[in-house]
Amino acid sequence: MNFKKIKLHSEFGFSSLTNTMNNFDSKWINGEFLNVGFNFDISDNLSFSTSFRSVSEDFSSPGSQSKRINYSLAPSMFAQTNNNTISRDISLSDIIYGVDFMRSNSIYNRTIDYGLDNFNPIFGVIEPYGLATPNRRGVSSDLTFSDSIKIIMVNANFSFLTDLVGEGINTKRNYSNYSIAFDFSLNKLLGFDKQFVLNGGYSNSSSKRDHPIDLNVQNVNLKCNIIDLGLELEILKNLSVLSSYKRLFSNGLDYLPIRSNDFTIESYNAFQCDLVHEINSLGLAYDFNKKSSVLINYQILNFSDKILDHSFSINQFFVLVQIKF
Amino acid sequence: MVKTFNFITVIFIFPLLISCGKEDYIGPPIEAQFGELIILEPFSSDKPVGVDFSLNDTVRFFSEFSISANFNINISGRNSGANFTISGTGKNLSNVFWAGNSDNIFFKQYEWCDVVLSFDNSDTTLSDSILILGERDFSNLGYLLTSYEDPSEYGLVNSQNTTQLQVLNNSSIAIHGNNFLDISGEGSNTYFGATRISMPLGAISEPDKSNIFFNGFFKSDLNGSAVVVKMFEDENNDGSYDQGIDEAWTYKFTLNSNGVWNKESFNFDNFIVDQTAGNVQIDGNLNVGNIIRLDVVCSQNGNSFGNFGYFVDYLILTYNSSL
Repeated sequence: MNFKKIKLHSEFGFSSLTNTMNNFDSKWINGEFLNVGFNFDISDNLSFSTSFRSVSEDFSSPGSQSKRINYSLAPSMFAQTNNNTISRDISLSDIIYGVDFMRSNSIYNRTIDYGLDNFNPIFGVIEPYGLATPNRRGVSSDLTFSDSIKIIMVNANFSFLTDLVGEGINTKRNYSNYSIAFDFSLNKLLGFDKQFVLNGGYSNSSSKRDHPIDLNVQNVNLKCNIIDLGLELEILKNLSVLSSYKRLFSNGLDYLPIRSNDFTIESYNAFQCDLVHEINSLGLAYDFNKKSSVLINYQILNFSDKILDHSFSINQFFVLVQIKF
Repeated sequence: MVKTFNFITVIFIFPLLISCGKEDYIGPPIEAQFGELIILEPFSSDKPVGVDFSLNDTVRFFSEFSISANFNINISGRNSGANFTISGTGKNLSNVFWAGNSDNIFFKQYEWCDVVLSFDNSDTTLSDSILILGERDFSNLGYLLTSYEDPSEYGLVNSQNTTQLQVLNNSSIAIHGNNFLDISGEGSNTYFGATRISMPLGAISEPDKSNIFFNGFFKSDLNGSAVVVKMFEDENNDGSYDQGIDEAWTYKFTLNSNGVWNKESFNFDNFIVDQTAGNVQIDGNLNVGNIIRLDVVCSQNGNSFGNFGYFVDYLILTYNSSL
């Protein structure tokens, strides 16, 4: 619906899931969701959108709930650290620089799963399955700004969600997420004819739940912060210097539900972390044409984990030739 | 007009959703898995000087915890080796009691039992002990065939291959009371003797065979030993089993040869018509009201030459569930 500069939108649906592979008496699991909101073009350069959503705890949507990354697999590179004594999970660098998507041991999912896929909670637990994350209710808003000649583009997002129904306790978790990202085209500001772009972003997400003292259970308080900065400077025609920095720091405790095939919560995994993952990267990229390029890159990956009391670094140099057909 | 209608629809759906909150939580209680377990009341029972289960007495347990925890009470007999486990969830042990029943073999009279309270996801254990002054009478759970205490309850049948067929008296070995049967044989046959129990017509009060279970305790250290349970109907009500007129039923199971007492139970649905040794199928229907005899045969799993046999004690039919 359009009301001049305001566009209203709504979406709702139901899901029914059953599994008759092993048990002919399997019950149907019914879930539902609703999403309503509006987009408001405040001006040509500024727009605001907000939406309210409610997703039931047993809502099933295999397509949207299947993770792109299979977090149950080990990273394809340096899966064991510290003299092969400690296994590490898939993290930022594996996702950003993972170039093994054509290999059989790829970390990418190739199937749609009917259960909820594993995820890595260090990236936050507010919506691991996006809008289809079960048992969430709340408001998400988005603010986008760009000046008329696109020198700067800013996108801010915030979400306040809660559990729709408590997990293991009547009290519901409160989730929040703030993020801001910008693209700063310095070449336009300085009048350069070559690319000179600075971009960056910051994201903070948290989940909290206070427990009564007589419960003798630690409160839920898990925080995840991600900072990233990137620079692209075209020094010669089609030859650019690329530099980036990304830092993830995550700490706290949450009790993550372990669900059975019928979506029933069987138990909880007490996930606790206090870690920092960092990527420093410097490289040169040359574009032969729009479909082929070469990237020469050196990066330092730093990992430290205070809970496990270990840290390590991975120094990596790689040449990536890309040809698109 | 249409836009206005849509707008109003959205406005109405919004508060409807907000009102769809649920008060109950999903999943097991969080404190059961992660709460700090503190014992607020020590573990104890209401029978510090002993319990006489033969008088239908029970033991109540007491303790209180800081969280709703998954608890297990494990009771083990020091002499018999019998065990019984009670599991539950709660912040205390109210409504937790023990009536003298066991998971496998029976607890014995004048036996001290160690009682240990433990919790899932916790190293905390609390201990107590209980003296059994009298054994529980399980015969009211169904129809007691024999515990070899009263010779009028049973008969013993041997064969040319029987090497041992004797009721022994040793209360420290017997599962119940003082007596048990020692039966064994040698050869390549499958019949080495049997316990024969005559039953009056209508002795089994449960009419539905699916609700009846045969239970017995067996102890063997001879590999390949097996038990055949045979039942005989008196379909023409002449007071005896007549081959070709009445129907016989059979079920065979292999014994564990671990040298300790094992409880064996099976449902009457497992019986099949016996069509060996002159027995024939009549109507193929097992009518438990017609049963007049039950044989517990010493047998072997195959037909190889060897020694086969076992100790046997406390044969009972139970209703609705196994012993």
